[in-house]
Amino acid sequence: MLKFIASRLLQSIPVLLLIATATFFMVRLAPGGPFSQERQVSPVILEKINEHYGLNDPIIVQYGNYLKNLFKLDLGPSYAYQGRSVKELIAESFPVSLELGCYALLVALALGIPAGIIASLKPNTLYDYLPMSFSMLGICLPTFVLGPLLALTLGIGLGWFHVSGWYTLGDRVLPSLTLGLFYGAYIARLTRAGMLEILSKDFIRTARAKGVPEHKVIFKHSLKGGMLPVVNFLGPAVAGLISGSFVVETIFQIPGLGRHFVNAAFNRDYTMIMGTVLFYAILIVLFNLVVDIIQAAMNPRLRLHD
Amino acid sequence: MKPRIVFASLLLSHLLVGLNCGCSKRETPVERATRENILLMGNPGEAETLDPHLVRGMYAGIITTSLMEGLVIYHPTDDTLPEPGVAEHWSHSDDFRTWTFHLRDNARWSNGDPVVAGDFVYSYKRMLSPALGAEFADMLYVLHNAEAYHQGEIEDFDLVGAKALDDHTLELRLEYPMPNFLNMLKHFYWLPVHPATIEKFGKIDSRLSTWTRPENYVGNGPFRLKEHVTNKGIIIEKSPTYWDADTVQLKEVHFLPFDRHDAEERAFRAGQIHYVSRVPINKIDFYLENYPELIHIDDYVLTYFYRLNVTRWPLTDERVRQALSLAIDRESLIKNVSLGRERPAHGYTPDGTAGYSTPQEVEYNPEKARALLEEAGFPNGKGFPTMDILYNTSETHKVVAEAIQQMWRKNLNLNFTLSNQEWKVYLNSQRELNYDVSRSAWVAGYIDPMAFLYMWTSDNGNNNTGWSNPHYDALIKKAYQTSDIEQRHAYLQQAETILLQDMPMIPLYWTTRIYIMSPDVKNWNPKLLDNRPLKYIYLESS
Repeated sequence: MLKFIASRLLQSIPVLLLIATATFFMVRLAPGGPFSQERQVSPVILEKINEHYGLNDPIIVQYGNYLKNLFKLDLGPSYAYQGRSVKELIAESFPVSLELGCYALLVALALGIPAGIIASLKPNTLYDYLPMSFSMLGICLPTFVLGPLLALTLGIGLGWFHVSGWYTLGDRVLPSLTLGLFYGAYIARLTRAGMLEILSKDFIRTARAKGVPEHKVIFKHSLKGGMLPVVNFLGPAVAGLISGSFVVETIFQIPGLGRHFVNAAFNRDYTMIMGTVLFYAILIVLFNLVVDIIQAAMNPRLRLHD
Repeated sequence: MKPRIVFASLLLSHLLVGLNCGCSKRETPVERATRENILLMGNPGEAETLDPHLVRGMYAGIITTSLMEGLVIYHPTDDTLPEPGVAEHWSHSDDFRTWTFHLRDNARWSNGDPVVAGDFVYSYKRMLSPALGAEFADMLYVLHNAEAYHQGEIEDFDLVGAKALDDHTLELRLEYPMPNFLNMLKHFYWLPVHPATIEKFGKIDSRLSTWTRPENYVGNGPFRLKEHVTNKGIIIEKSPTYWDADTVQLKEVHFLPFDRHDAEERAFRAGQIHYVSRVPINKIDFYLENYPELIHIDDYVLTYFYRLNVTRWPLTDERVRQALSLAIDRESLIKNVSLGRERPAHGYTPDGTAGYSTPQEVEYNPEKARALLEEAGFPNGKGFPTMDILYNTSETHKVVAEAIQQMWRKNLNLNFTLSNQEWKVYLNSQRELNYDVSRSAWVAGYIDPMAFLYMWTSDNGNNNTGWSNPHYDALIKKAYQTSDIEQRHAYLQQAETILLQDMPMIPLYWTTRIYIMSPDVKNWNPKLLDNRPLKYIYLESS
């Protein structure tokens, strides 16, 4: 097990290096630079600023310096927010996105799994159609529609919650619902599919024939196998959830990482783009690893290979 | 199982309601803030910095003008009038080239230090330090020898026209006569910084200094920095050391950054902010009809125009450029498309800027347009290539471009395609003259026609059309050198007439500033520059 984890982590190093390299060169290819703006900065001044950030060096030298700093875990200063380092901005905003992601995950699991199970127990009846129609709606309704809708109804209409900001516990509700419902809808469909497959298996028929009570059939014998597709989905989903959703964060004015992620690209904030991309990549690698371990524990047919 | 689920969902919904106390008639954040004298303002996006010398955008600039105070400040009602700031009174030589400012004795930094003339000299030196790389250091080029110092041609700052005669007397010598100098001086690039604080957290020209953090920030304005969390908000509070603290009534101002207009407007409707900085275009009519007391439409010094790339055939022909302008019905554009109650532009500089009257050279006349086009060799648009209108991705710019495309098709039988590009890509295309027609806008940093007209000279980096005319350059130069206001305006009018006849760009309209504001906010006056001294604003429940 430890050997497996160690080898997977080692494997991820070249992957991350590849991502860093590709991102580094791709952001430089985009037209416009971090300091271009409508009111033109005079060429002399631009030269000085570029000199300050080492942007006048040949690209390969810049790349070398970047990697050197990366190994020292130095992500550099943000180009857009003067006097702030990328590390600091990530450290400031990630806890917010993490918190939002956890609540959203809770919402998604709490709604998605029961809905999926109920649907799978009586397929092609109202118990199936109703939750599945809702989940279809949840998948089709993008967060930029659902978010304002929830804000208008629960926020402005009923006055239960604030529609922006991140201060009180109540401020967490609308963004968590917006983000969670979308994932919950997916989870419901995956749970239903997984459960249907397991419930049609011989060992379930045997269990039922032997007179095992239905709740034991579901919770003890089917759930573990039925959840496999969900677990598979959750790896990248969790990484996406906790690293912040730009849409939800801008709709509800939440100071999370997702806003930095997208605004950095608009601002051509090179160091910030690199920092957020690498951070996201690390999260994905880690969560995929966790998913592999959980899957091996849940599915006796799987083994961890180095 | 079913009743259990029903019960659980009921419990959940009760829990959710309970989190926010559940009573629907509770006090809104705005009501509470008004009671506590706290102004809650929506801000379009995050402030990139609160260092007045490194600020890039208007909105961060507005916040810095509350934290720092310059020699003169914005007048509460009239943007053309100076209001004494750190300078109690001032005088100028007859030729408007030497200005002497007498600083008040009781001006203090937020750490208690007195504000002295040397602080201003230090600040100008910092702004002009080549290594600081202040993006708009050229704003200070009006000072004698400032450009030479900034470009590294001279190294002795004593040669630059900023001298502290004593602690309370500052003399500024200008490169050329500048009757409207006081208007320029109000701009945030002329704000002072506290020398000891700058030196404590770095050198005079350290770009990456941490002095702007709330725990380090020392200012001399009516407010001081209390909190700044990126993307969450900036909180400023009344400064007890400010010389005119008795006038300041607000206890705190919160600037909340919104990346989306609609989110900002929703926050207003939910009673979370007093002021919405940008109104979604589709909400303007709704507010005007239903809540006219909440929406405000002020004149603003911003020209919305289309650049024409004069290096591309057939835009090389000024008759073609004129024809394109004559075929645009600006009244209809404003009434039916842009919807912001703008003023149709009859020239480039917004009419009335600092008493300047803009030449009336732009009109809607489709017959004349067709005649000019025919004269240029394109009868009824025949033989005219398909050209493109470029704009940066935005719904507002798109609808305007579509309307213009339609007018050119209808009036001149010309085919234009539309293309949109992401902001920085678009800026790049414009700069490299990689466009045919490009949407543009220009806002003045200070109230003076020169703030609009200087950019069209041949060597200006903001020209971006390929157009150049030596007569225009000569007239602008003459205007710079004259100290007589009438004469200066006359030169500028002649120059603008040339610009409008050559037409390297098509002025469309002079925009307005549209915002929504709670009636609790008092003493908030329409301002041409959208820059209000917050020291005069107060809150009163209405």
